[in-house]
Amino acid sequence: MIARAVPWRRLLLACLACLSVSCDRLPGKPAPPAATPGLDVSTGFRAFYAERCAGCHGDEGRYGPARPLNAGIYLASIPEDALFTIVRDGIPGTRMPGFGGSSVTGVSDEQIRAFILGMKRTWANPTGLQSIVPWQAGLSEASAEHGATLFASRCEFCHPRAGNQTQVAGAQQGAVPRLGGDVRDPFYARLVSDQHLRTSIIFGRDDLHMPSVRGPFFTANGERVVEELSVGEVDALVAYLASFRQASTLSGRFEGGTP
Amino acid sequence: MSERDTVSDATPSATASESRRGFLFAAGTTLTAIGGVLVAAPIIGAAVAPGLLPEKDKWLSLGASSNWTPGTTVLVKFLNPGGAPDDGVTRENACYVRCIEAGKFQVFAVNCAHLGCPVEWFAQSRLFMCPCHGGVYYEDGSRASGPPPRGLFEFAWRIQDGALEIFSGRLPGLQEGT
Amino acid sequence: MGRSTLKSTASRCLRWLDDRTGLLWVLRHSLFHRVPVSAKWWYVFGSATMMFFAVQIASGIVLAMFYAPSAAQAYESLVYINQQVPSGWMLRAIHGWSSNAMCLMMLVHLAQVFLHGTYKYPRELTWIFGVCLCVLTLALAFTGQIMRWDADAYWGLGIGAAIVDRMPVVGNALRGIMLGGEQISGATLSRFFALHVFILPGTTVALIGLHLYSILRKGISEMPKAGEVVDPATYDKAYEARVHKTGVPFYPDAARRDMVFCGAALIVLVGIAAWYGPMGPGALPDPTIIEASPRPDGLFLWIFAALALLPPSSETALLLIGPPVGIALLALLPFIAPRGERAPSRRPLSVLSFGVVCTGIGVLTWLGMQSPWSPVMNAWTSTPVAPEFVERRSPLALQGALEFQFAQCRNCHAIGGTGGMRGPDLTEVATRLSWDQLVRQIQQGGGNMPAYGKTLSSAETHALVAFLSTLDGGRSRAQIPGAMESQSVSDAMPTAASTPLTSSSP
Repeated sequence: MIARAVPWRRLLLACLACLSVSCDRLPGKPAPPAATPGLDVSTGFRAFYAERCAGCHGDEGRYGPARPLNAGIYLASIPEDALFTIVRDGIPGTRMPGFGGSSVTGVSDEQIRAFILGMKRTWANPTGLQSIVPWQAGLSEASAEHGATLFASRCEFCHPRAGNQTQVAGAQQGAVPRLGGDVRDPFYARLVSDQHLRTSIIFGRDDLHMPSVRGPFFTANGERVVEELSVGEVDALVAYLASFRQASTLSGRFEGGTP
Repeated sequence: MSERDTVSDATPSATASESRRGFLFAAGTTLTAIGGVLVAAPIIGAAVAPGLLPEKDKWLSLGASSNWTPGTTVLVKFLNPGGAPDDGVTRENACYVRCIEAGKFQVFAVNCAHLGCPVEWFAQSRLFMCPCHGGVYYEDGSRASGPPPRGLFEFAWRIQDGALEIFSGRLPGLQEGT
Repeated sequence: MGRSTLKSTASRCLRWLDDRTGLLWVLRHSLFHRVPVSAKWWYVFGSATMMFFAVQIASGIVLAMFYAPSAAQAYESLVYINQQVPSGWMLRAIHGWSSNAMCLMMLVHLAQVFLHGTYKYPRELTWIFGVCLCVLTLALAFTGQIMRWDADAYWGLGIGAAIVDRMPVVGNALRGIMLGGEQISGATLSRFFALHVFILPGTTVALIGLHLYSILRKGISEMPKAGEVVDPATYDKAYEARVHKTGVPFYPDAARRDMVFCGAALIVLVGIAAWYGPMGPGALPDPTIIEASPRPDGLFLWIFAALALLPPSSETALLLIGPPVGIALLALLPFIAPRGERAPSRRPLSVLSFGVVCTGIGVLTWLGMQSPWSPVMNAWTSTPVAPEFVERRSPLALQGALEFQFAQCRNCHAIGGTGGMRGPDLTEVATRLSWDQLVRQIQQGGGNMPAYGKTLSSAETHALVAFLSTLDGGRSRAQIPGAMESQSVSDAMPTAASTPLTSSSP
């Protein structure tokens, strides 16, 4: 009896040893609470972006209904303080909410700064060209009439009036896709700020085939034109598009806004 | 055995002993009952009383009433007035302060009127939404949709020395009927 | 010392022990009592339940050596057990998974006893003790979930308190006693600790004793046979005669299967615990962290689902009357159906009701896992509008898509299968609702949707509807010849020159 018990006991001891050693390598062992990566590094930034920004700005900063942030020129052109203000306070009157502030659920100022740094590190093209046209409006008096003629020769081919919606949503004619849709819709004009119009003209949306201020554009006949719009021309276009805001109560609402 | 024998004899001593036994039994049950009640009172009392003690006056300040911007609703933290350090993070509590105009407020409990889950305020759609069973409330706390039988619970508020104070400390429930 | 002297000393000791304790008599009537020969694999679940309870006691005692039942320290002590205590995480995993296993085995045991009609004469009391044990086990599971002292525990208590509070007259006082005060606090945790560690396990041990005693007293039932009717007048004698003739001692004959099953179940338990690890603790039990989505443990998900689906008008009544009546009916079953057939094949009503209850709980649990009635609180910022709903949209429609996210529509409505499920999926909403219908639905709400009339300006509503009108599942309206023409004038997108939509802008 006793002689037979020895291997059993050894086996048991070996099992116990195995168990206690391997216990720490089993898949069920909870991972130690890892420090969450800072927002200024890509992984931390991406997680934060996916949680709070991707809904409007799109997965990976593209193809969202809001301005694509995965755009080096845009990120390089907008001063950090402006970005900071936008993220913290939002853009009042538009669909950009503020994520900071003193509320319990708000993101701290330091985190917002880190977030912007992380965004630039992740998406800003280091060789990104500085835009020649300043992102904010100049002091020049822009004429809407000038904008109207310019619009007809540079924009109208892709942004025809909404005779009906199907021109946008339906099949496209010709070799050049006319995807833009009506930007002279008064409701659209009321919903967006001058700065939104300006930012859209300057930086375009290459994910949705909208050219930047550098073109290429299409004339009314569909001829391709590669030339850069000047500061005055951008101002004129913005003035023209803003003139479609009809309701007087709303027209002054977005002046001096942020992008 | 011998005792039963004496009972059967109807002698005077037997009647005496029977009455003595009856007295002893009565005394025994009475004493045990009294003793039992005396012991049980503090035991049960200690277990039950904390939940039954009457509410005390618990006005607590949330800060200067000028801290709030009219037209906004914000989440405000406070410490449970009856709390103890042993409560840890559960000593904290929160409410929504809606500033309608300067000096005019609504203070809502975070607890959904359905089953007490924490409702979240969405400033964009001006709605409170509950993550448990989908109760939704408008910004004035009235029920918008979902299972809640009523609007959000409100705390009584007052302005004392320029500070917004709320009457709180109790987990709100349907029986309070604010 | 020779072997014979050793033997005689041992036997003398045993005899002394038997004389003082009556151990042999007890063993003869428990461990070696005769059980019907037909008691085979169907009978292992009760033993398995008890074995898991033993695991709970053992692991629970050791956990209590590390766990700090104070609201300020409970959470940290759990993290400490997970991270620092040698194989502490395994201990928590075993305690947690064994609790699930115990509940599962208990429910299977209950189902088996119900389907085999074992509760009938003369085992009424065994059944009633069993029903009490069932309630106690569920109470242990619920209080155990509270011990985790995370956000789910905190809000679980809140839900429990809200239910208790709905009781007429005494509700408020009962809630106070349950919480140990006017708020969920440290006193609440202490109370539930006392329940989970002393009161409930103690009562459970006592009831297991009564349950086992009544089994021994009236014997283990035989496998039901169609046609063998339970008749109180003759059952006892016939049963005893059969068991005396063909019965086998519980140990070792019947116990073999129990041991095989229990051993295998233990190994599976350790495997699951090692693989999936301990449960939680989840987020901190801080009521100021509003972004919580409290969910109960799997066992209670069906109740969570029922609470979402009960009609609000009768909810309180059903909540307060339903469970006690249900438990009472279950407990009184032996007095409702004390005699007659035991075989499931001859008890269609029982089998049917069993099927209905199982299906109901199963479906509710599944719904509870999905919880389609809950808004997805962060969908508006975290669920992207898929590129196919962004491309080829007018700038106005894009602003509408933004509004759709910004106004938290996405929290309740999915587009392209992602987003909330509280409201209908809007991927093809333009094929169902016209422009005007969309405007009306948004402004006035209805059908469980809040009204957005006061929140959205006319331009915002307009943009939103412009976006929703593009959601036609790729079936552009113009592809149907004449479709646009046949629609009424007001149905097409109005121009800004026409009367703006009545609403107050913020």
